[in-house]
Amino acid sequence: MGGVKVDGFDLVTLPNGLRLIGQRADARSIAVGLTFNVGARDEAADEGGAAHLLEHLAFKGDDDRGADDVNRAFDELGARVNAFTSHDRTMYYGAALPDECARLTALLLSLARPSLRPADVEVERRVVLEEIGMAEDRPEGRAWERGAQLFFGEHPLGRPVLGTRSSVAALTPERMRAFHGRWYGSERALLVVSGAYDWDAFVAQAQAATEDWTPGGSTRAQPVWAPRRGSQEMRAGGFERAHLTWFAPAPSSQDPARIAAALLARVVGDGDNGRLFWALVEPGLVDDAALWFDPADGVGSFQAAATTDDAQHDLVVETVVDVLTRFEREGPTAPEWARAQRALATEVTLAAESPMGRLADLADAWLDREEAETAEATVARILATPLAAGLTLLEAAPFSSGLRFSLRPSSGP
Amino acid sequence: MAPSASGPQFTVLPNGLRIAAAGMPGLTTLSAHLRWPLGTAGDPSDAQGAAVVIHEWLQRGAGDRNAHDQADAFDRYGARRGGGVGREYASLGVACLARDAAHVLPLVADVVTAARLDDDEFEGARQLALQELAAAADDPGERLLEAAVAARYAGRYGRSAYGVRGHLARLSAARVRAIARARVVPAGAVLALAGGLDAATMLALAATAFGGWRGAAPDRGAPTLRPRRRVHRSGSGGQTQIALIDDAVRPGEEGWTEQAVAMTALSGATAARLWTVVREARGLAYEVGSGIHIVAGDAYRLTHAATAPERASELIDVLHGELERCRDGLGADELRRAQRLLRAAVVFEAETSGGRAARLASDVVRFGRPRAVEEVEDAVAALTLVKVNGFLASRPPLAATVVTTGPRPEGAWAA
Repeated sequence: MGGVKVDGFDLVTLPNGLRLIGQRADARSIAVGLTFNVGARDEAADEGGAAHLLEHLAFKGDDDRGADDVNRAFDELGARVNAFTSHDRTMYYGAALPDECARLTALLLSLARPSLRPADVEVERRVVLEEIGMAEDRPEGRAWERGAQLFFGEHPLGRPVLGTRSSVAALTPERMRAFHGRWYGSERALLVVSGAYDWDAFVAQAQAATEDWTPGGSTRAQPVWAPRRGSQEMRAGGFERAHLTWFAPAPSSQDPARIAAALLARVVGDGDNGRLFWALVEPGLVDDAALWFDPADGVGSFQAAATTDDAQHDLVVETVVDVLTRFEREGPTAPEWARAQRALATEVTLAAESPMGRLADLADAWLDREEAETAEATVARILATPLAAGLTLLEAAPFSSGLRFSLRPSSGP
Repeated sequence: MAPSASGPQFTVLPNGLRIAAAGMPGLTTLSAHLRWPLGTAGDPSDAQGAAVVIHEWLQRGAGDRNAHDQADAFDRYGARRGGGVGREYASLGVACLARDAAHVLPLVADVVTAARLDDDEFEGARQLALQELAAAADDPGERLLEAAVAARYAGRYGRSAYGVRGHLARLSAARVRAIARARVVPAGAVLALAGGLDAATMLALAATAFGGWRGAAPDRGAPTLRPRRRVHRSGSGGQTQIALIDDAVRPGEEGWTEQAVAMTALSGATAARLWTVVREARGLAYEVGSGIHIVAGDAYRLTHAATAPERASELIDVLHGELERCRDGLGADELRRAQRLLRAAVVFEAETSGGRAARLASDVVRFGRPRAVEEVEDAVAALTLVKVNGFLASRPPLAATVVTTGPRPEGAWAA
């Protein structure tokens, strides 16, 4: 099976629905990723944290080997291996020297069929509860999580990826098996490779290793949703500073306006030269302020965060409202737009330096849009996006349709 | 000129600035990393945090450009900036397209050679330093590191990397400007460049841009070590943060590469001992790790983890046991895995211009010269089980300072 070649990419879909994509690069390392198009947003009401716990359990081994065997096998390859779970995706990935491509691929594929032994579920549940404990000790993360919950409301993007202490406690091996059965079907998986690979060997290996994989038949819900507006605050103990977050509607990952949205976010939120930097960081009102564009599957958002002394909380809020209102009214200047284009272009080029740097974008672009694009093509597209595209997005007044949430210290003024 | 794949080049300018450069064929990007001895350890004892203010102030205008013009000048080339300041060094990093390097490097040089240090930019820089100090106090990991460093060193190297609130509040523009003039100097500084240009071309560009930098660095002497002890700093939060600190081999000393391999077996991989014992077998912590830190020629090992207070004593005992067990040596399989991992890590790091530039800079600081990727690979490959285990057996019995922050551990380590 040779597959299709599209502008420097190799693509094929196996009979069981598993998709494979490769981007060839002259590099000393090779990177392989196995992505499942499932994340926290796909959990049922009584499955909070299941996608993330399953990611942990994948490393506990299949019927042929235990956790120690899996870990040792990755280390034998000299592979740097990791995984992440987001609202949209679960990705297992690794980099190794090119002659280990086949063994790395075999191991990553084996992660997708874990045994889910009850003892492993118990140990890993404790690890996840410590992970939740760690997150609870970080007020900026708590503020962001609560802000997202308020902004997305009933939409599953508002759920915490880790779940809650009680939802994780309720995840039995049986529930994990059911979740796995529904969402780890072959049709929701994408195997990505970047570097100097042998495509025919890669495809043949994937086909042999996934012969018994079958489609799971689940589809992601895209509920009708309207962004929540307004502002809310909460006071709590255990920290000293005020943590502010903002959320506003934006184009989705599929929307052609996403590049214009990324450039708008850059004009306002660039850490060195954005409007929020000059209004908040330069005068020393906050230690850091950022605004970014998060293009999720079907629903996008602008998000912002800042941290300040509680006594300056109201001043920071007023300043941000002022900056965003003016930005919405006047739009970016031509020099601001050009600067944002060049900054984004450099970042895309830097990320493409190594096979590992290319992997996650490659997976997202294919799963969300069936799009395979080189860094050079993305840069050209960024530089060709006119200021008018940004102004069009601002006509909908996204920043006036957003939500602010502040987590403030109970010891404050 | 197109880059060639030969090893890194190195030169020392007459002003003392050390410059290392490595061409990376196939890249269209270039990263530069400048590190110079400006840190809170060198601040006057009544002006702790001045280095943080200086680092910020430096970036707010140079020559005939004010702060806005300066930011715009970098952005004209899409150059991405980074950097920071700690106890020992300040750094500035920049990444751009290789073809723009001749325009971007002079902008970096202007930050350290032609900073305006305008009065009207001072207050913002000082306020930002105060904000960063306050933000660090809300970060459990940062609180642990600050406590660990203070437990290892007496005197200037045990200071906070963020300064002292009262000192920051009293600083004047004139005082900080005078400190900056004496401390933003090329002596002791390193500039590393890596990316899609020939190494000789990069060296020439850097020499032109930084040749006019002037000044000598004061000698701050060696750090003063504190005796081994047990420290607890109470704080809020649900998790007890734990650090074990003990002596390590210094760069250039015999055993450096053996130590690197042993640390990989201890903490550098998925089957590493700490991960396996603490997380995989017991589920005691989400994060656990151990690394070597170098401060002004001193080296220490910092092993850290966090867990609920009721399990903290058990976790400290487990960490102690694993560190002590290092002296018994590695198995042949462990050594082979660690060697492969280290070799691959060296290759991965050398694939990005930012990773390569940062490594060149730290090589110059640690070893006095940049090392070729192949040199490091060869040193790792040359290790044998006899060498590594001989080194580990020769290490002194574990004598670790134990630092905890956050809620006090329950049980044996409560005191």
